[in-house]
Amino acid sequence: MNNIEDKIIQYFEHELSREEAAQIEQLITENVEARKLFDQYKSVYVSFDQIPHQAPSDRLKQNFSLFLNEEIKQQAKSTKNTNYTKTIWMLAIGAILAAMLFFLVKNKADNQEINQQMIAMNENLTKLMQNESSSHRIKAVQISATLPDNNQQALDLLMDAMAKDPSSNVRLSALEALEKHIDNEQVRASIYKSMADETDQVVLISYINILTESKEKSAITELKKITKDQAMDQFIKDEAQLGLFQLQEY
Amino acid sequence: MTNTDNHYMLSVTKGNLNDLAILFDRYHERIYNYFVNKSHNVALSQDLTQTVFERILKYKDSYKEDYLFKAWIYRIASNVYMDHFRQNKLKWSDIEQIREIPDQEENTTGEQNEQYHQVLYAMNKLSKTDQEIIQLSKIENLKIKEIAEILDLSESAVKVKIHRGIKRLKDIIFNTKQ
Repeated sequence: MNNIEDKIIQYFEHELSREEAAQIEQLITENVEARKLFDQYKSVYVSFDQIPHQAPSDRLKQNFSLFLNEEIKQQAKSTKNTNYTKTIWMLAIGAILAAMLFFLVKNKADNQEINQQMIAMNENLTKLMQNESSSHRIKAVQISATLPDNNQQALDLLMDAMAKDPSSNVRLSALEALEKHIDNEQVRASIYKSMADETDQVVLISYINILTESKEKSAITELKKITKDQAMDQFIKDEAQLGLFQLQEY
Repeated sequence: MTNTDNHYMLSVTKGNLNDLAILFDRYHERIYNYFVNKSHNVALSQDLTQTVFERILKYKDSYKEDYLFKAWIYRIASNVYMDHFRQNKLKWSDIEQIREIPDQEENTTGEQNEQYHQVLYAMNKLSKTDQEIIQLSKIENLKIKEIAEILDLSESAVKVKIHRGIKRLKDIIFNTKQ
């Protein structure tokens, strides 16, 4: 009977094929026990269908509407707050960008101002270097020495003074001012050339000392020229020789 | 398919909260009756139905495109019911007591009333899982696939439990336990 019960349940669950369902329908017409079981299961299934469907009161819908409206309001407020926060952020970013732009522009303006001042100063220095008084020209050299390294015009002024100024004191001041630029190839070449043309012994000794202290290997060739110069005084040759020893030790 | 439950629920997840009203119209009576058939308490059933829709909104972001909305809402309903009893420290026997009190429905005949009360009474004798499965299948008329999804069971397991539950109900009602 268990097998029949299973088949009856399958029948009510619509799990049987048409043929199998027909067999069950046939069986219950022939078998009293099967019919009884069938009716009992039918009663159970029918009972489910009789369970009444109840309608909730209007209060449920009203409460739900209130709840939903409140949620929609909250959502709108939240979106508004999000937009407000977004706006604040946008304003903050805008302010930062504006500040950066301001400083960039200002910096550019400052640079332009500095450049203009530099041009004016170089012009004044040039005029000063042309002054008849050597003390004025030494002053110009000292000022030039304090200018930024990238001021090519100041370097040109110093190199020119080192090579051509009629005063040995001015030439010496210019040489000392250029010592810190010895790594600059242009300055070094200028020093070598001026040294070869220098006639003042005191200034020559300064050239030798500066080149020795610079530990610049290329100075060896220049010092050797002095040691081999027949017209050069011996004490200058000795100074150059001493410099050569020191340079060759490095 | 623009008028499916899934479409409206996905719309809710995207922030169109008004679409929840459409789902409420479609489901609030079913969910209300689900609670009534469980608790036989009209006021409680109304409150729990409201809670279900509140939870839908609360957990809307967890809803995925491939979900069956019907299964999802019944799962929420099932959890709401369980939570209510946990929070109120009620015992299942309290419910069974309520369910054993037959009340006369106006629109049913005495015989019908007795018949469906018999089946509801017999359901109390089933295990909690079997009760839930029989209710979802025979009273809420959900498909095997939907029940399997609600209860995290395989479809074959649901089928077996339905057969077992029906057989047990028949034995209880007709006192034919073998």
